[in-house]
Amino acid sequence: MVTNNGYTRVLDGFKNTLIIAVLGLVIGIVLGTILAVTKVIPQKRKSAKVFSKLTDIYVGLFRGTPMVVQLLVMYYVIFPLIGLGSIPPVIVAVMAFGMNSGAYVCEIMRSGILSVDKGQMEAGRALGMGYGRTMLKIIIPQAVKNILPTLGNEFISLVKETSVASFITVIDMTKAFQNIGAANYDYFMPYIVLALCYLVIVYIITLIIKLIERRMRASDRR
Amino acid sequence: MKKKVLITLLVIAIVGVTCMAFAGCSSKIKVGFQSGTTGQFYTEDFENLNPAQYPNATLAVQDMIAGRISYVITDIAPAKAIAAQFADQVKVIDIGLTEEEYCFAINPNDTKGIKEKLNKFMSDHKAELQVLQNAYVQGTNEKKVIYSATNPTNPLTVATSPDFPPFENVSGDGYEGYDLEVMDMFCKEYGFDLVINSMDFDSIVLNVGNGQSDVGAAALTWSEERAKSVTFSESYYDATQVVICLKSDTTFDNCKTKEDVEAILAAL
Repeated sequence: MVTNNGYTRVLDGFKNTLIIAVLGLVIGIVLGTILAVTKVIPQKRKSAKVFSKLTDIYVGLFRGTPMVVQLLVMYYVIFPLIGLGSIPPVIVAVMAFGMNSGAYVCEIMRSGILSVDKGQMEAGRALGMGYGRTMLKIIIPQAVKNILPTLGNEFISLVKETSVASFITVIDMTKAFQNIGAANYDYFMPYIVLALCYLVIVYIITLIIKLIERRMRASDRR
Repeated sequence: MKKKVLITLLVIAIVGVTCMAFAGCSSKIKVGFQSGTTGQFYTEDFENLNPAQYPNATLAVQDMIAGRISYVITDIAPAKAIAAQFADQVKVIDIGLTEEEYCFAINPNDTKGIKEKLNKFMSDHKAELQVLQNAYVQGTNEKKVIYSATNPTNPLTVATSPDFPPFENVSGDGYEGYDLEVMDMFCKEYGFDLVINSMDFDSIVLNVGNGQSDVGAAALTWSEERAKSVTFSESYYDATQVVICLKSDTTFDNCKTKEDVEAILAAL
């Protein structure tokens, strides 16, 4: 299958897997951070309460249904319904994985924010910074440092979960190897190489996370 | 005291689930097929058989060789293509069980006039296509590798599931197969740029029905159910379902007609 440029098929699949995982994580982190803040903000105003409830519903919805079901609903029900049926499936997958990841990152981020000492917020406010500025400049950076290993976990599971993207006609790495197996009437090698590919990708991600972690721990006095 | 009751309940629950798991393994004969194909609907009509779904027929045949299932029911052309690859281990019972026709599926909101053009193309080149088809089914021709257009100006998106030789499968960084070669010829004649959307077989009718692709070219059998969501072209191949079994299996050896095979299937 390597003859005739067959490897480009795998590269295409790898590209899709990477696009979905990386963009999904970026959307997930941004969305998750915003959602987490709505949960930890003081519940004095009515609007804050409404946002907190909406976040609860969102997280419940995305954690309570399987990823595959979310993909299918997005691609075959919601997008055609709102007249966006012609959007490429990769984009739909990115959005579905991003929104799903957002729900998980929200809870991870919330635990991170809560783990930062209350005094930090008070100190920031005492220096005359607003709530949002303190959150963005003081609390969240410390929170991210605390939750980095868990975020790494989330990214790794996201990479592996992209293997279900073929349900909505995306040719990801898994599907590419499946097609190769079908063309050669032999699934032994394709599936073993597929597993190795995922292993290598996850190993590289682990190394990158370790590097970032070490950089962030540089200021620690220990 | 309360703790004891709780633990007892937990144990009962675990035992119950385990029993359910084992009860699920029935002693019925297992028959494999590609999910979403006519083979599935055919197999499921036999209540005594235990249906086993596979993403494609090749995997089902491999599982039969591994001993997990007893028979595979699939369309005759791929059955022969697959059996040729595993000629030492499996054989095809060459008795047609159904009568069906392959058609191209067309988007119901067909704004490009594809249905008329495709039907006209198929009747214009009837003899030529028949020769090509015979060559593909017998596996005698040099197969043309078809590529998806990268910068289409007038795209014709074709949904296919490249795991159904000789009608469609992947080849290097392109595709090959009868359906796709016909699509390629059609596109050249009518000035379309062929864009191939590769997906699972069960997604194709849905995908074309939703208008996400213009044409479904995947050895699709005409059926009333499918015709509710897509428009079909004229038929281009008379297919039938056949049984594939292990070479050592003599169950169907004395069968002459469809009724013989079905009688045995119903009594398995």
